Amino acid sequence: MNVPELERDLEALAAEVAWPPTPELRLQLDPRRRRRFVEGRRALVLVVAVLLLALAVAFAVPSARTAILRFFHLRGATVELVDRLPPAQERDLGADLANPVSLEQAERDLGFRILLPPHAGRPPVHEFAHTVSMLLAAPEPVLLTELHVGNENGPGILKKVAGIGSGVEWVDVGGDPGLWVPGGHVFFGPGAPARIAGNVLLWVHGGITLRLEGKHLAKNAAIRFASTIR
Amino acid sequence: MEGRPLEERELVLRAQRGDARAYEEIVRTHQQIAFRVAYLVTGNAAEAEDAAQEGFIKAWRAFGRFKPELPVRPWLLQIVANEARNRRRSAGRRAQLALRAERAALPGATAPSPEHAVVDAAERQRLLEALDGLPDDARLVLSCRFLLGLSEEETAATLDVKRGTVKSRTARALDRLKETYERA
Repeated sequence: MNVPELERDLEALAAEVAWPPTPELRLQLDPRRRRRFVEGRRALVLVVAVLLLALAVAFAVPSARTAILRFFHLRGATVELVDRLPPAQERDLGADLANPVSLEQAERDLGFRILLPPHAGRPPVHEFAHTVSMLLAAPEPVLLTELHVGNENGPGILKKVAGIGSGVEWVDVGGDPGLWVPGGHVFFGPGAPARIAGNVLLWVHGGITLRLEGKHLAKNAAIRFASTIR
Repeated sequence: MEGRPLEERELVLRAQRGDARAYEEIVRTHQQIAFRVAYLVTGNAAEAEDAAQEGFIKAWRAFGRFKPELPVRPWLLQIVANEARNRRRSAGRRAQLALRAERAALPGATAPSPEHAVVDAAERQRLLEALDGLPDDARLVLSCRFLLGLSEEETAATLDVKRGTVKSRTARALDRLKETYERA
């Protein structure tokens, strides 16, 4: 027997192999489902979670393993202070974004008008699991994420966990309620592993919850910029 | 999209926007080949099922980063095979396959012919056993290429090696199988 004959025999054999029956896979594909957290270092940390309150338990936030010291609520968002920081990696702002789609496509999919800063034009956006994100160059490289929380039982999408001392504070964003969360916290976005986030401003405008993140984003600059997003 | 049905690209794009049903459709299309890849690696049907299941879940979590212009099957097979390798490594043992030749004769075959060396059940079983007796690298590359019918690119992704390695490894594995088969 030569090698070509052996190849033919192997090819013929392919149809004859009695493979074990292929099982029906049962996948739990909730895009909001995240891994359970392993224990992190012991320190006073701040946990910021942006998620639907009704789904907080289902999301398995580290509350089961980290004591919640204090929390804040914004529409559809919870900011928690906990005693341990969950593990996370440092990655670029756009590292976990899905492929871009047009603004029109995202608005059709998500069912709400996406808010934009002036002069932004019609930028491509990144859509995933009821959220839409876009990278903007001004006032510095920032990531703007929006979600519509129709009611407390609607779909949840963002979860963010932050470490460190303090500095979370209520702010006024052009008449809308907001939360300023200093960098160094841990962010859980849909479809991506946890990452260490930069400075973040959370606020609500017209039923939309918005999140603006920048590595060196200053609080006052963030608030001024956020006030122009309509 | 070369070599890929339009519907799959649409499913991929929808899945990347978080559409779980679209992803489940993709999984349904590829679950058999993925399970068989996992079975080849682990040598155990239950572990292969776990590996395929966990691999598909991991792929879902990473789906936002998949480039939709690429074929999805090699990417999924790579993730599932990697999961299977990890499980096998944890178990610390070699895969022991129990593949059997299914039918007593080739369809339509009435008598042995020079074109088909594998003409009866005993010969087919002997060839399978010779294949199973090869070292893992050789066994896997031949199984992927000939038993599963994977392309060189898919085999490279599955085995986590370069395409050139698949070529050279296949040639060496065939030589070795020929030797083993003839000796048996």
